[in-house]
Amino acid sequence: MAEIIKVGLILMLVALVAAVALGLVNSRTASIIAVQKELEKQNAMNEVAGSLSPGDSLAFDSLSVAGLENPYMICDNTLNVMRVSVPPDTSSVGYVFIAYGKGYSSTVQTMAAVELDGSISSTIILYQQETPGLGANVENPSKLIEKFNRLTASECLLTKDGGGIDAMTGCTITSRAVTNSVRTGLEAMNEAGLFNSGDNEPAEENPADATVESSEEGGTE
Amino acid sequence: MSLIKDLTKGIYRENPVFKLVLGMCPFLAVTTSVENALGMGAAATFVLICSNFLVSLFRNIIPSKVRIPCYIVIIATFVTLVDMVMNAYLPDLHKSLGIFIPLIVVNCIILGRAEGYANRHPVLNSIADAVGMGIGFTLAMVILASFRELLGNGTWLNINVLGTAYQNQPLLIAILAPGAFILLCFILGFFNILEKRKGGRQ
Amino acid sequence: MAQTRRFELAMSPHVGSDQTTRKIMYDVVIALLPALAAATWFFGPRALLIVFISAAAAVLSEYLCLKFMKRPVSFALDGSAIVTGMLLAYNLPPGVPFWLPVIGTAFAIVVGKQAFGGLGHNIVNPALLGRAFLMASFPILMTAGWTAPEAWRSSTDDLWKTNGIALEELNSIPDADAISGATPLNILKQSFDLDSSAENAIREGDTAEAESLEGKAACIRSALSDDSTYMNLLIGRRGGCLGETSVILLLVGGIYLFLRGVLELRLPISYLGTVAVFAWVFGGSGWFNGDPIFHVLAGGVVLGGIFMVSDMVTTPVTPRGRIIFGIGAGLITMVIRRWGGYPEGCSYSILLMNLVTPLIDKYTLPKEFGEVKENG
Repeated sequence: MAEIIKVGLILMLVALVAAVALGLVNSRTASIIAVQKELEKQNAMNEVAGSLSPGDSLAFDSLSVAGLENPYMICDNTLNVMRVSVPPDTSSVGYVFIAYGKGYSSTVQTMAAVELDGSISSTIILYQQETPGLGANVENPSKLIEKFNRLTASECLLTKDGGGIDAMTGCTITSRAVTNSVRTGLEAMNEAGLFNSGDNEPAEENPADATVESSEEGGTE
Repeated sequence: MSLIKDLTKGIYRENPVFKLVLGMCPFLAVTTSVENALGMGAAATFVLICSNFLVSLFRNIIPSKVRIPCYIVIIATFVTLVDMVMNAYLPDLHKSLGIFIPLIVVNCIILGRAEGYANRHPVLNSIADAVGMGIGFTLAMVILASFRELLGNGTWLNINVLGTAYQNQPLLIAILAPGAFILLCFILGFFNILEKRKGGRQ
Repeated sequence: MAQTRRFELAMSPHVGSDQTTRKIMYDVVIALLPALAAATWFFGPRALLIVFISAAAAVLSEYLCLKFMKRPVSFALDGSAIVTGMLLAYNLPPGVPFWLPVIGTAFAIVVGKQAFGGLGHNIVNPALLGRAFLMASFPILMTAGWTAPEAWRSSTDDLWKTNGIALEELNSIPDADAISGATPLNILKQSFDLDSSAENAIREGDTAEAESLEGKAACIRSALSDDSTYMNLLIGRRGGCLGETSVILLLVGGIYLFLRGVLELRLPISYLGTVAVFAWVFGGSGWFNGDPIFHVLAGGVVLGGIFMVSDMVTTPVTPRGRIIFGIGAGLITMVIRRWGGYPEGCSYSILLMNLVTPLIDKYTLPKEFGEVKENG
């Protein structure tokens, strides 16, 4: 009996020293890590939103948009949307949002910048752990996400699912995860009335014509 | 003399991966590129040195009944420390190694050396042992990672070696999980042949 | 061999047989030839060359392995390497580059067969292992090298060049013509993809879109069950791996093997039977309305059933075990086809069942005459 108490006390002592050491280091590093994370996110947002208003320094403020229920979105029911503006001016130039899609072996996080008319202007992959050499190629913009540029919600669909985006060869699941999660995000924002609705309505009725139409409008603007 | 012996035995004669077949989990999982292998090797070596040092230092205080829980607490503490410090001060390295660092906790080389060596050898020898084992582990990882990266991606340490034509159609299986097992078998077979030849001559 | 146990003879009577490994293997080669003729007819001389390269590479790797391991090199010509090489080539799309079968057979022979100790000791079918290796290594080449049957005759391209059609080009919704292009199972898979897209459209409230998608899926499925489609599938005028297409000529080979006493019918029949029943029950969009004929004729189950499910080394030896093996492989094939990520599951199903063969053998060993159950 006495021995077990002694042994237990020593084990407790070891654990205590470890806990104190960890606590001290954590109190030192936690704030630095948080700053680091925020900076990383900020950099990603600046990178992706740079396409909305090239060359300007941008300001972001977050909006809360009710997410749509969708099998491809695995996150809570609010969509993380940032309104983008060029600082002295407070009117928005576009939006940035993060989409979560369930891929082959990870949840792929995609950040997309959206124009006011609801078309995508730029996309980057924030996080993925897909198969190296196959799904992981999604990080390479020319394989998939470059094809999203200037598409609206209804056009953001793989060829296999009746849309116009070719999936990456050999990795339909990853391609589908990214495409569908981005589309769902766009739909949720559309539903929340964030876009200038005039450009969006015809696109939903006739996807085939919409490709031509929206690109023409993009040219005149 | 025995210090040098302790240092060098981990590199070939008692190589933790090829001879003791320990630490297979990080060995197979992290060797997709030479860069990852080097980073993982360095992190594991650091944890190994720290844990061997502490275990050896307290080897007469820690009662043998609870030695394993104590070792695990020590190892887990160091792994978490490395994780936090790296995250705060070396964010780029942490980004590429982040998910592998928790794997060090389950790396049986570290627990194996604590239990098999450090708990009955003096501090200096234990540190020498840890350095040797760490180098041996890192070398083994780099060997397998070289094969995998070269065959599966056409590069070595991110330098394009086999040309873009190869990169368009690489032997993809080498960087996938089955490739790690197959190549490990070839390497182990090679070492067995080597050993047999040596034994035959004596 | 470290084993010291002596070779044990069973109690007499012993039945003599003039079957030898060499005879059996060359019988299998002969049985494979009709399908090779079909492959050459439909996919051009290129197909013939791929099979030849593959078989030659198999014999060469076997020779080098035996030489390296200091075993009698005459084993290289016992026919088993040729069978492995031919079977692997039969499992490749006709449009693959010529170096692909060389890598595949080298892996099949060196890792799949010789590393385990040569013929009789391999755990899984080496040809299928080689195919799985190629699938994991070169997924793009292995899924995009389909050529339309008889296209080589009207093609102006250099016959020896890779003339595979990228699957993307065939992904536009197929009409009856396109069915001859990609493999029939690819097209079937697309119809199921359309179904799930339709379900999503319903969930998103877009009923019109859902109806049009469902219509397309139904159109594909009815085209696949057409009588002329059946005829094409039977004679092999369809896209697919080069040796799997001509069901009728594969059957000719199977009958030859049966007459020579090489083929044991339990395995292929339980395998193909399971595929057919499963296809009928679960293969359609509802229950009991699937198309068993299509599922047996399309894809590689006939090739697999006659030449790979019945492989003597890697399948059970007991009669009950063989039936269990056939049913298991059939179930896995159909589960992969119906719900899995690949259009065809034949090769993976056989590989998986190969792994449990020792277990099946252990539990289905028939009772010896007069044996009393232990601890019974």
